[in-house]
Amino acid sequence: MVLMDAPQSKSRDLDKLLLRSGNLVGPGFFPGTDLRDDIREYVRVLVVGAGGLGCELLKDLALSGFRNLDVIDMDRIEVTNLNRQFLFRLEDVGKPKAEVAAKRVMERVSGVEIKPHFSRIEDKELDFYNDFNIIALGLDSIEARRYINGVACGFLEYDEDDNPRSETIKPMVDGGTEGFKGHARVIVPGVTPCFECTIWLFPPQVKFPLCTLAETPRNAAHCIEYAHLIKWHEVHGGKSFDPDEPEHMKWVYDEAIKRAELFGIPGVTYSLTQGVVKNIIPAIASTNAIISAACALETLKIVSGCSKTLANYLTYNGGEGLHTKVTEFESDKECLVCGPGILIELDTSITLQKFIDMLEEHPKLLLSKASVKHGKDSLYMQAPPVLEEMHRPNLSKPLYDLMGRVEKDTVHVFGTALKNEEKQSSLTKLRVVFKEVDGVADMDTATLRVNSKRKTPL
Amino acid sequence: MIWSLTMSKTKYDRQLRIWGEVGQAALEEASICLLNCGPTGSEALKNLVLGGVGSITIVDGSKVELGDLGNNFMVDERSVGQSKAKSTCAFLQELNDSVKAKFVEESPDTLIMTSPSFFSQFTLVIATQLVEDSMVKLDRICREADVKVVFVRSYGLVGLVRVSVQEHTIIDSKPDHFLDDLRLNNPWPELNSFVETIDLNVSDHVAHKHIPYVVILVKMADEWTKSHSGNLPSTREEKKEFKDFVKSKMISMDEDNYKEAIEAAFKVFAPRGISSEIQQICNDSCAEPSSSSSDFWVMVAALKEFVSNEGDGEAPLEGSIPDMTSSTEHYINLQKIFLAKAEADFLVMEKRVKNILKRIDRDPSSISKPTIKSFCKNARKLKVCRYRTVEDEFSNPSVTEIQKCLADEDYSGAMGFYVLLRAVDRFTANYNKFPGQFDGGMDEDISRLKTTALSLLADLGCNGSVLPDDLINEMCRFGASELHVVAAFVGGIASQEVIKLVTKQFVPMLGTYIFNGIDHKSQRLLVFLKPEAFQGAIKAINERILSVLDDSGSGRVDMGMHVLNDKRKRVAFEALMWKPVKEGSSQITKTDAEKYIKLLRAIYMLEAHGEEEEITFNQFLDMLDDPDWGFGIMSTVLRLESNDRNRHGSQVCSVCRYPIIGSWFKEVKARFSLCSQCYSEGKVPPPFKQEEDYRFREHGSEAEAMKPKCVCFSVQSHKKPIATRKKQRN
Repeated sequence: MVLMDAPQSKSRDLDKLLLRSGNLVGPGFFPGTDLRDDIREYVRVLVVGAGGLGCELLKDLALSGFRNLDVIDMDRIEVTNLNRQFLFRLEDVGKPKAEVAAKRVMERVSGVEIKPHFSRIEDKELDFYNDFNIIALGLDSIEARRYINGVACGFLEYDEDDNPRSETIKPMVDGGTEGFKGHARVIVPGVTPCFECTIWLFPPQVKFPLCTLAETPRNAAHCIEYAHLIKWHEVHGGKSFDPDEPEHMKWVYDEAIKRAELFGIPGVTYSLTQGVVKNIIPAIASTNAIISAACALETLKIVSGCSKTLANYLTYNGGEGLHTKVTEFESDKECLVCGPGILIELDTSITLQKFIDMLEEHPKLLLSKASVKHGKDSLYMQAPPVLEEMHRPNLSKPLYDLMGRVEKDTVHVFGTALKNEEKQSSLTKLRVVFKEVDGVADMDTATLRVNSKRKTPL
Repeated sequence: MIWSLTMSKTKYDRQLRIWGEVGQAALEEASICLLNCGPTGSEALKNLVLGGVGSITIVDGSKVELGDLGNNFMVDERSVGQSKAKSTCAFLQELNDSVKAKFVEESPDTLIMTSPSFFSQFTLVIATQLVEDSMVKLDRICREADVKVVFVRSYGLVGLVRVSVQEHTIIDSKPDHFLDDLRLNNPWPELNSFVETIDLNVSDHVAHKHIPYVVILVKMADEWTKSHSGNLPSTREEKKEFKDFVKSKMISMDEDNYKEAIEAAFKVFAPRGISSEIQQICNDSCAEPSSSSSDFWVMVAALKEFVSNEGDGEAPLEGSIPDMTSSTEHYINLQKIFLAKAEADFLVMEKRVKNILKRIDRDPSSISKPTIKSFCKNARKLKVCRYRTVEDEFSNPSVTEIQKCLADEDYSGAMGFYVLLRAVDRFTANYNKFPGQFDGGMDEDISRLKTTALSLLADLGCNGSVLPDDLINEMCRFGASELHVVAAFVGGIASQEVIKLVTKQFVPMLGTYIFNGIDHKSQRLLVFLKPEAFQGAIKAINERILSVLDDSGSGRVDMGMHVLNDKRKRVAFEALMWKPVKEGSSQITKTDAEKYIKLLRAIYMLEAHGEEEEITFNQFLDMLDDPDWGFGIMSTVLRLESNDRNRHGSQVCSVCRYPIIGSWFKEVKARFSLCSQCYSEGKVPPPFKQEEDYRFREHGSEAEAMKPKCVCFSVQSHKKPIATRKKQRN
């Protein structure tokens, strides 16, 4: 084996992994300086979130041979971040996380370029996400994960035989922590389960019955939620509650104290009030470091093939002893998000308006206020008003024409879906097939057919 | 203003919610020494500095090289050629100015050799990237000085973490899941008299649906035992019958309190008295107090007295109750009754602690009230962890365990790397470099490492064992590289262990953790543990074996725990002892041993024979291992169990993580699955809360459960979510 670099190279340690051949490696591993240099020059990684996991991920990736990184986060730095988000200092409080994190890592690791995006993930164009080779998620909200997962899976295309086209696969690594516990997973859409395939892994949120809050409070949390959810609206009417406004929090705390005294309930504290109202998840530096390191390592392995890949879900529990476990979940072939898509058969005469109306009644979609996108073209947009007006004339045109008179193709629909009695933003993939184009007429017109054997529990 | 918190309280808010102010204070008092500040060490320390550890002292004699810039965030271009300890220290100080940060420019190996007394000033030493010889020496020094050590190593894509301390006792072990201390089947007089004031047959519907389940179950357990000659439900049929009995008292379908009572019925079946684990702690020789006893053991001695006197077999009451459907008034009254009993138990314990302290010539008030209170509250969750010395681990290995691990699919990788991590140190001693450390000569290094590893195995007494070539090749490929991500992973684990050791909360890891960054099939090698370390696992297995012995029809034949041979035998023996045939005896009857082995044989399609006499544990071990007797079946059991797991692999219990055999309980909303064992113990997987209202559907088999079903639930309009709360971004 001939190695090009002198021992005194910045990539001294990483070179052992990337320049030397190995026995326990991925299928497409071609060790050598080309591999190392390609990772430096061409591979682009997006880090979503610049919080506890995001800060670690940026550092880990910058020290794992990646030089082109982007980071997106809509939040500003708070004092409570400082016990773990090591790129931030007290004087940074109030500044955008993404910007400070990018700056700090670039200061310390020369050669790395990190582009910060102080923005909501939903505000970026879909194309923005398509520019990256891999997306690393450092999030702590299920909603945000679902969104990014939907976007990444949206790029996925299937061939005639429902096999994913490899060039359209946008891999993701995802981490999450709570206290001493965490998980790291690899999502290769179309190959391993996506976030939506295994959404059941996430526990339901704790909610209190309204009657308990109103009539039979028993503990401090009930008193706090009474003040937060019932009393606030009674007293302040239309004024919405802002958990980041100290005066609002103080008001809720005082009201909770009053209620607790009335019922003789102990335990209402300011700290608990914040915890309950903001649904604070306890977090520590070490767990974030562990989980992010696993995610960054998998990113490197997916990109380079320098070792086997995690298949596909790692759980970590360091509270009682130390337990790590790898579980290989299977993807749901009928997954709305990463599966081949919902097959919809349409008449060529169906207008876009009619199509949008149908989405609302479709049992698997229940999608209202849908915007429709075909490839890069928006066919209809609900907002902003300027764009809505611009696309309005399309509504009366047949979808068949708008889609370029092809026999079948994929469209993405974005709107508000009703899931578990809650309205949620939803991005879904549909495979539209036009009837009669290939000569086979179906009498059952104007009905949406769902290619699904499984019933949906509602 | 009450609500204006101090800056430090705000800064540490997210961790204070985990270990509280007591834990934080312990962290702020701790003095930590780091040996070698490569990425592994500096990442471990970073996590502790952020959390506000008291002081850090970094020991490293090397200068920053260009190569360090590629794996260590704590050094940058400007620090090349400078002291690594100094550069790292400066960056770490930047992270938190309330931490006292110092550095010593000296090689840790030299310091260990020349200044052993240096280490006695610290609470804990994080020893990174040490070779075997230094590990052994440091461990000896720190044992003597009563300083805790966490060893960490990153080596290519693998790593190692090992805790070393003579004894670590924990009061507040914060287990994920723990059965509430409700005493439903063993109520004290005040609880009984409160229960008597409530009429289950009250005609007012609103009152009826606001009777807390604790009251319902205490009443019904009492009624049951009266009609069953003093016995609680024990068989599966009886348990079901009991639940139906509770259900029969419902007057309408929307009574959440009754639904909770049915779900919590298993708490009535829970055995009375202290667990075998706590019993074992009470039986420990340290529980005989002397003037040198630690506070923990003095309190254990008091607990032991309490259990056999006032406690009547039970530990002091915990005193808290979970939330449950109830009128405010009933709930508050119940809370007061539990608190009062806990307070009374505490006062008794306090008195006993004082008397013991007097007896051993210590100041009777030298253990504070809050400490005794915390001890009482956690008396059922006490933990004792003891660790072998590194020297003992290295020089007296358990040959059979190493061999078995090397042959076991799940453990061979971890054990292989464990052996290789020791082999590379031998290699270095011989060749003055690590295998593959420099480019060129790779093939020679591979064959030399192989020879070294095999001779190490031979020296350990494992002559027949081999290591896969793949592992040896990879080890040479790694060439002693310290990859940042591997360093951050194992360094992160090390800092978690430090926090657990310093705060004396949660439970530190036992054994040697081998990180496998190739496929993440990392393992803790339990080999090097003393049997006490197995208390939890032993209990779990005891229960499983008993469920087989009881012919309860649980349908569960696997013992489903990754516990290695010796322990498993001990477990089997204890399970038989636990069976109340001969109370207090340290021997089991040969008939029982026979029966157990017959069961094993029946389970694994083998057969048995035997006669009537009493045997000791050692004899029992001999029986199990003696192939002529036909009892050398443990390895078969292990193998068959792993086959079992493969066969039944598709549905896994969300709690014990083992394949579900027999009945499968699926939670209808959260969709987690439980095996019948975990279901009957009322467990829920993390991070679900035990107190939550769960609804399970029981499936006879997997196939049945896969059938699509249209499920209709009773409408619970008042349970409709009242708000959608987004999780706070971290």
